[in-house]
Amino acid sequence: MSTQATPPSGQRFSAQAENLGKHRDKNHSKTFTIVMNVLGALLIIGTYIFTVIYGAGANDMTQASLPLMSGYLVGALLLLAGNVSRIPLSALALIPFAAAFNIVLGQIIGFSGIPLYLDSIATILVGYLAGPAAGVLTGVVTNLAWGLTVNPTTIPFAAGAAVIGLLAGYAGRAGLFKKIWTAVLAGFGTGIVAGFIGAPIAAFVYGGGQGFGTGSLVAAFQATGQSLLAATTFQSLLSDPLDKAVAFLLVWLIAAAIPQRVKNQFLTRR
Amino acid sequence: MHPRTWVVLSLCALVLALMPLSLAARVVLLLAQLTLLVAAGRLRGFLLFVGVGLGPVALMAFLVQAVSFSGQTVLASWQPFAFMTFAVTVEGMTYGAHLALQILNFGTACSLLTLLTTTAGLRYALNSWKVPSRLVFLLVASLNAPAQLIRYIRIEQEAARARGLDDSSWLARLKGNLKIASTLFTLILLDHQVRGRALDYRGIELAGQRVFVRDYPDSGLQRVLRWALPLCCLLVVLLHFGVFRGWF
Repeated sequence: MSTQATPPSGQRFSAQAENLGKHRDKNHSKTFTIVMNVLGALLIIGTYIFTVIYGAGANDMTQASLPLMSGYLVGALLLLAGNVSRIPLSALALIPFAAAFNIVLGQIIGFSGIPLYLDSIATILVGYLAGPAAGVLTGVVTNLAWGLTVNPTTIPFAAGAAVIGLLAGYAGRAGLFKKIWTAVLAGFGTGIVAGFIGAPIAAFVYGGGQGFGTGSLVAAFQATGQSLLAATTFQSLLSDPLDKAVAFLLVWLIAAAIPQRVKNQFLTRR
Repeated sequence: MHPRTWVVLSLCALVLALMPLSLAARVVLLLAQLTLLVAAGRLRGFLLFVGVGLGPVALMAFLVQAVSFSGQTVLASWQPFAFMTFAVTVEGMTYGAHLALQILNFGTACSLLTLLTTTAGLRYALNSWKVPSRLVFLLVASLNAPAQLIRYIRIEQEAARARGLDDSSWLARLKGNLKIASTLFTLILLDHQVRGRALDYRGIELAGQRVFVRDYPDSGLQRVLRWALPLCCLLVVLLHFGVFRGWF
């Protein structure tokens, strides 16, 4: 329990005095975090390479669904386990609401017919404000919670969402959200990475049929003689960079409107 | 049934859903899962699940493969450009059916977890397996958060109406909702330290087993089931990937 004195009623806690989640009871070693993150990243990368090699020669791609999903989900869960003990409790308390914003907005955009996803805005914002670890957690938790409450088709993309949160966190650390064009470029780059990671899932698990627009594009690419994996990769590289560039631009706009007091709270602990 | 049994059952169904089974086996798996949902009286909730996400994706996966898979037995074809040929093939339809059933089975397995277990039950199960309490909070709070957020939005909308703000057109409602969203997000950002402090006071960092007010009845049969199902699943996976080849 907290060892700090309770401030008088109505008084806000100062960011400098904040020591929530600094692990007074148990010391999570930095080595544990690094090992879990490296293992998680290697598993995701290894799974991607396996599916690309397998997908080049296979006709029936359902054979690879289980190894692909296992590799990506276990990778995402390792990233989750590695980072969950690293962030302050205040950031931990923020993540469920950030995930809820992603879910509600993503679902509204999905129904609206707008050819974008915009389901990672809160992930990018949390990554920018609270750092890469919080971004990773928000990404994974968004997709798990979305899948278990509204739409199960989002669960397999948890690894991609983790990478988006991670890259948004590093973009924030590198100061890429200071200027509009660097934010958009960072979003574009993040979208390319996310597109590559998501393409095998779109091919092996969903057969490219995640929506009318994207499904039509995949069918068109396949009709030109491309393999299903190549078709979903081309489709992802068309839509993801644009979507993430718009999402990073929106986060840049939101960040400009966030009170400096809030930013300072995060800056002391990022 | 005990929440732990539902979680194990759902995870086993997830593994089987992603296995490269025959069409008949996929249909049997889907029917078995549907039977569980019907028996638990959650078919209506499942149909909503299907309507929102699963159904359209499964249908689209079938259609994409039915018209663009490079199969041998062509039933009909269409060449809009010299470099692009759409062809409805028997092989494409079969592969599309495999994918559609895989998607439906995967989604149904997820719905077994969410429709048949409450978030309190999930928390109980995860805690009893000694999952770190931070992780349990993150997962369970995230499952509750969308409903909570929608409740806050409804309260804000009601307050806006009570103050006489215009909500006669869709444009006015859109503007109002954008304002509500930005206000809620700023409030959540401002209050995150207070919520973190509340978690600390509730002893989230304390080690040791949690004791719950509500207990769930368990039985010997369920305990056996919780071990037998994962073992059977593992056996099926190992058999499929040829681990036992040459043993018999």
